[in-house]
Amino acid sequence: MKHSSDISELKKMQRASLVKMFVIVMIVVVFAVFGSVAWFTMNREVEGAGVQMTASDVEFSFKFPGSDEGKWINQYRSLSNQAGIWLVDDKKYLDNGSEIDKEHEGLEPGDSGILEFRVEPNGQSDTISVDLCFSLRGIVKPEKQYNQDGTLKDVNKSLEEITDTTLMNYVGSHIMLFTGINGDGKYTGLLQNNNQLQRYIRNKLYSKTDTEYTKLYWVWPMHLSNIISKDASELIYAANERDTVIQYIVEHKSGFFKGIETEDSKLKTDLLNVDHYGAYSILFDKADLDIGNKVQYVILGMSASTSSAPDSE
Amino acid sequence: MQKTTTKNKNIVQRYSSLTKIEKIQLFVAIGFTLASIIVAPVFAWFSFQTKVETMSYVNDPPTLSLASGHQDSIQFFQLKNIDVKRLNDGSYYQDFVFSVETEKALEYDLQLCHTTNIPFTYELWRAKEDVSGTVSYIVQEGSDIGKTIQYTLLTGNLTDGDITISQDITLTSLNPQTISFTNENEPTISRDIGCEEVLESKYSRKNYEQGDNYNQFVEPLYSVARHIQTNEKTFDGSEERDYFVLRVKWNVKNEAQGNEYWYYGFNDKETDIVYVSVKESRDSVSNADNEGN
Repeated sequence: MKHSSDISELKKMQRASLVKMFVIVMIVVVFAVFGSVAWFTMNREVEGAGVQMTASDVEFSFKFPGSDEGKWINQYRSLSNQAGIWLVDDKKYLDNGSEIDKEHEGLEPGDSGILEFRVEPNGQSDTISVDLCFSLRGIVKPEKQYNQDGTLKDVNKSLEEITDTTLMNYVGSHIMLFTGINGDGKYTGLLQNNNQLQRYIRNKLYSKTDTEYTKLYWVWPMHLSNIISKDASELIYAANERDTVIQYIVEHKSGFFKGIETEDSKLKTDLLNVDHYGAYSILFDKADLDIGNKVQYVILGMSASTSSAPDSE
Repeated sequence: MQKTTTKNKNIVQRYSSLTKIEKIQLFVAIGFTLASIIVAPVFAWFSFQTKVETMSYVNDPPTLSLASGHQDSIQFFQLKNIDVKRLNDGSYYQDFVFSVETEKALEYDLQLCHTTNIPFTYELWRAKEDVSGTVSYIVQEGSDIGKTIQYTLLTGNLTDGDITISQDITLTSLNPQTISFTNENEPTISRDIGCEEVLESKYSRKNYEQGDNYNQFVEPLYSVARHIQTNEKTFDGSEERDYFVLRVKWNVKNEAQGNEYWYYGFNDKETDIVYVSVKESRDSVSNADNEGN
């Protein structure tokens, strides 16, 4: 009797051990699968948050002509989520820093500027091909609070990142990025957002010997007419890119126009012919108003990864 | 000491008492924990190496501002030297053009405030430039200086695509004067403060039996037109102004007697002050959500 009870006890222990072993193995398998997927995907392209690991050591570093960390560096340093600093100078930055009036020293519709950078290969090779990803994130503008005498209360609140995707869609659409500028002062080469509001420059070649900086042109158009006009002088970009830009506006209509319900083909026809300008302009301005009222800071990020198809440019 | 030794012995004993499989499980768990601890800063390091950011403040939307007709600035909006004398008795008016620079605002409130030394009444109309318009404005500055621009008064609705914007303006009195009618053809306007009867009974004085004495007990009258929607946007944004006409009205009775003198326009009366102010409507963004496209 005792012998059989010992056997059943032993069997129970063995079963328990097997279960534990099985659980451990499953956890290992899950980790291995996720790790492999992460490895393969992160090795090729940057998607999602833009954090990226390469297969080997980091093969490049960013270089900037300026050495200024920017006017808002203290506010940036208070964020829990930070990256490296895009160094700027007093001529090239992401705000309207030339205005002396404090009320206008930040970003607003009608502003534009340049940011510069280059990528320097670190490794043995003299050249490197990188994919550059640009994305915007925003910080919530706290609600204005007033004292009893009607004066504005000084609210000290920690910076909170915007999670409202509709609002960030407005920001990502209204702040436009271009890669060049022509002799007439019109932008060329619109960088187009993907569905995750990321904009790419792919297979950009940099070499150790070429020290020229890449220019990124940012602009927040004042009026809808500045991006759809048939009059080339009114457009902020080169007129021969009008079809492309209008197509882009249609594809991202919910970012350009607040509360738009117009169907795509009708919208495209209206924009190309500049029909019902007043109505669309109001929706365009509504989106701008939302940005001005609800966004306190915007953060433009650039992340780089070695190209999957080198030297293809 | 003994307790610690006993405790240590327990840990050692416990480890020794583990089966082979349990020891393997323990090492795997420790390994995963260490791996997690290492991975987090590695990710952070890669992020710093491969990503850079720059930050900027976003300005608040601009406030509305008032301006004059055409493209003139506000100092040219003047109501001075209104000549109220007319040969014949009756009702008369004079129109003055001003504008609101709307920039990105979509809805705003216009408030009118005026003193009542002179019995003017005021009306507010939306207007737009029109060669056949009945209201004239002489340009005061810029390349068109001296030119006369005509404005027409707007009523009803303005439609553009699927958006309809009302042009009618309703001025709501915030502290109305009392109006009574002795007969339907001739309303009698009586004021709580400022009219001669009240002054005589309350303060034992009269202002306008004859002469030009200011009425120190006068209370300004306030009225407001709310939720005026920004009109059709001009195409290139160069004329982002909504135009208005302030119509100043008065009655003339050349042989006014006694207290009647108060109710009619005479050039020897004291000056009045008129304020016009504009402010973005408080819930304009959420109200605008109700507009379809």
